[in-house]
Amino acid sequence: MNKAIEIIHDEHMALAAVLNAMLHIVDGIESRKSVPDFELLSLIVKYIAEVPENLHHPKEDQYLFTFLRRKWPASTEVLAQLEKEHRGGGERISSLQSALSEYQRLGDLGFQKFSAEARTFAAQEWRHMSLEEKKVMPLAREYLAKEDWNEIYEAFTRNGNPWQGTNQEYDRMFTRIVSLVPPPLGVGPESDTE
Amino acid sequence: MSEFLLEAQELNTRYGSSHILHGVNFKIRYGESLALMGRNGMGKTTLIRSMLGLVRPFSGQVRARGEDVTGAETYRISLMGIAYVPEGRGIFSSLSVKENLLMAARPGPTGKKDWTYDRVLDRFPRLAERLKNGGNQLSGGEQQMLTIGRALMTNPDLLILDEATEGLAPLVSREIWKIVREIRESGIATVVVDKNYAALTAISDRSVILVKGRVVFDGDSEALNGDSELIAKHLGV
Repeated sequence: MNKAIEIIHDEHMALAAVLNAMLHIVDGIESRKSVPDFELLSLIVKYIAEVPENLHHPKEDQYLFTFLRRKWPASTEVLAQLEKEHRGGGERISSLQSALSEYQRLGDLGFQKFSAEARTFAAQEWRHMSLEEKKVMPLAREYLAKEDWNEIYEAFTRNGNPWQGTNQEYDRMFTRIVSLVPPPLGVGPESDTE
Repeated sequence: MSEFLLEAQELNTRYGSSHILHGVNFKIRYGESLALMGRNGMGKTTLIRSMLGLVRPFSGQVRARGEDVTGAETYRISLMGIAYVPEGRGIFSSLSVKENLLMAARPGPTGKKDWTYDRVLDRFPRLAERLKNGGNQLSGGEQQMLTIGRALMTNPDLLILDEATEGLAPLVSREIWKIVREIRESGIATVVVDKNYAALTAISDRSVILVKGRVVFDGDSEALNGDSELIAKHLGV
């Protein structure tokens, strides 16, 4: 695996872990095993709203997809679909954010909608990442040359450490999420329905 | 001063009649990050334990900071700036989180005090919320954070993590990898054992693969990453 692909793959893994935590929390609330922790839910939604938008998708759209399209024009169709999904991300996250606000305002009455939005959002993200991992990455490995990868990696790392965000704010946000998500997924306090 | 912080030369170790390590050569430089790989039962933990004085090799030599420490007591090797986070964590379950951390506190062998109690709690905010809890009241992820935090309290020059993310959920595993990366970037040398080979090669400069107690690969992690045949052959992935 080259370093540029490692970065993309690592960001997918981070997002998948956070999405999985969100669904774990939703399951817990649905089965009455836990009560909602709105600080945690808000943090998770903020993470999945900002990290893909600010850190991840630009790497794909501006570099990986651009290089791949140039080297293998037949990829245009799948890349166009992925770019369209990136553009639609804002709307999807906005629905999730609204559903969370409503849930916080209405209490139990707002849960069903939030739960449905969370599950739909996660399913769409997984489908999207799966397409990138299973179709685009293998093509990129096959068609891009070492010089292309070097250029892509240089672009990825030009503005500081891509793992952390410009001011390490996403790094801290991730640590906070891990500190709040209940076990066994995180190291936060045990869920309590009392 | 030796170029190497820790090295093993022609190390042979047995458990009873089982010959585990066969003439292993291993070395790590100051500030270097190394991935120690191999399938289960190939000798990774035995190599670490042999170098740290937890198992006595029957032949060969272990040197720390250039000094022969073959068969030396573990505490002596630890005082030379080598910290160990063992498989299964090894925290003191009857002591609180705070006690576990404070009992380990000391300057490094060169007097450096980069990792203080406050810095460790700042890096592991969850531990700060659990200071009064006993070690046995912690989840697996919290225990691993405590073990790493305790190791950092000794201000080591080398941190060895055996099965760094064993049994941890993906979210916590990722946090551990992030911590390992930060430790590496702070200049502390690292030797990490884990089954997640992709994560391991991503955070290491060099990789060593053991097969049946013998080194079959010792080289650049990036080169290993690009050699899927070698990975499949020796690591089965």
